Amino acid sequence: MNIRTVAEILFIASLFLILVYAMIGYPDIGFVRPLGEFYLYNSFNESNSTWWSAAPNALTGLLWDYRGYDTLYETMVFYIGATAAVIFFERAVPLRQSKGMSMIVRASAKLMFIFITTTAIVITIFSVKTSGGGFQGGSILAIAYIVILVALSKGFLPYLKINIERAHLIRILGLVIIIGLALTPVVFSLIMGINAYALQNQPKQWSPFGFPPFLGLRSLSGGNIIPLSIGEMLQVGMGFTLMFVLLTLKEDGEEK
Amino acid sequence: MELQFVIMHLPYILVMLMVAICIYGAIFKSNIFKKILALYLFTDAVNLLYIIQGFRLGEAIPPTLLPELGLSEFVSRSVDPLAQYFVVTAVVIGLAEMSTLIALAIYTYRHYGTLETKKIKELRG
Repeated sequence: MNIRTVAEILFIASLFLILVYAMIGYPDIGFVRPLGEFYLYNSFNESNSTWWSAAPNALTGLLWDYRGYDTLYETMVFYIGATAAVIFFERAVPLRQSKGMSMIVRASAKLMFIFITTTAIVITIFSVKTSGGGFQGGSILAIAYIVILVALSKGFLPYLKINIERAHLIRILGLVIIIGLALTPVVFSLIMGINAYALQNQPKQWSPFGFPPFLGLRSLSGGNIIPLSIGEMLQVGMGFTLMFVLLTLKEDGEEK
Repeated sequence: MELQFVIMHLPYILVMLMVAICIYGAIFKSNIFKKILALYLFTDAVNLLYIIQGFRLGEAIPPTLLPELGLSEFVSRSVDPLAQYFVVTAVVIGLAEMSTLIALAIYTYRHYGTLETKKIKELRG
């Protein structure tokens, strides 16, 4: 064991001890803090419509109502992060055309794609009622393309009508949905001369603007949360798809 | 440090060990890919810390109000949604950041032919 190894072990040990010492101030494990209880209590509390988000899933209500600004900025960060990755990966290599897989393989690939995409959409839309959300749905949507890419080679992508420009457009569409819904209350307040704030979901006493809490069916609640989640799904799904598609194209270029 | 305190805080202690190892990896490993891996595990350690803090002892349920549950029972049994919120967003953004770093690593490899920072330093003269 040389001196460097000993020094490294000592570094890890001393860092660990410092971190454990700092941990003494942390709250005990197993108890929910009052802030968390506030969200749980008010998320779908119809008797207190001032603070409710109309979403039975407190996590989704938290994402797009209570901490909507946080999520909006995180969406921006994701957009910029994905754009940076795409700029590094991107190269003017057109997607290769298929080398003529059999019809059965093509049909099964499309079927698989439809199943996974449907799952992504369902998880996104019903995130107000059960587990899920725009981030999760988007990740699953990206899997639909990645499965095709990994399992059946990228020659299949033209069959699924995906190209880089279209993926960029869908990403921007997702962002437009989110920003449009965020700004709708502001535009409404300017026209009607009432109080409203950006990303407002349900009406308050001092700010009467509000999206309808139930979209027809009672299971589709949450006001603007469902369309916002769909925007997030498109944004995240296409961001990941672009990254993986371009990464594969790059490797292809190296082989040549 | 009392034994009971250690047992009660064992998850925290394990996370801190993970954090220490990740910081070591990010600083001392000379391979860029290993540095990236250490950074990614570091974000996972932080996510784990959030989840541990949001955990509830007893018969915990997800933060979704089901029709058969009363509001008071839901509040007293559900885990903390705030911790889950941070993790959901952090995971996706972490992956985007990792992709950017991996893209940069690919460029570094193409330019220098290696991912070893020591060799890159020598090449620059």
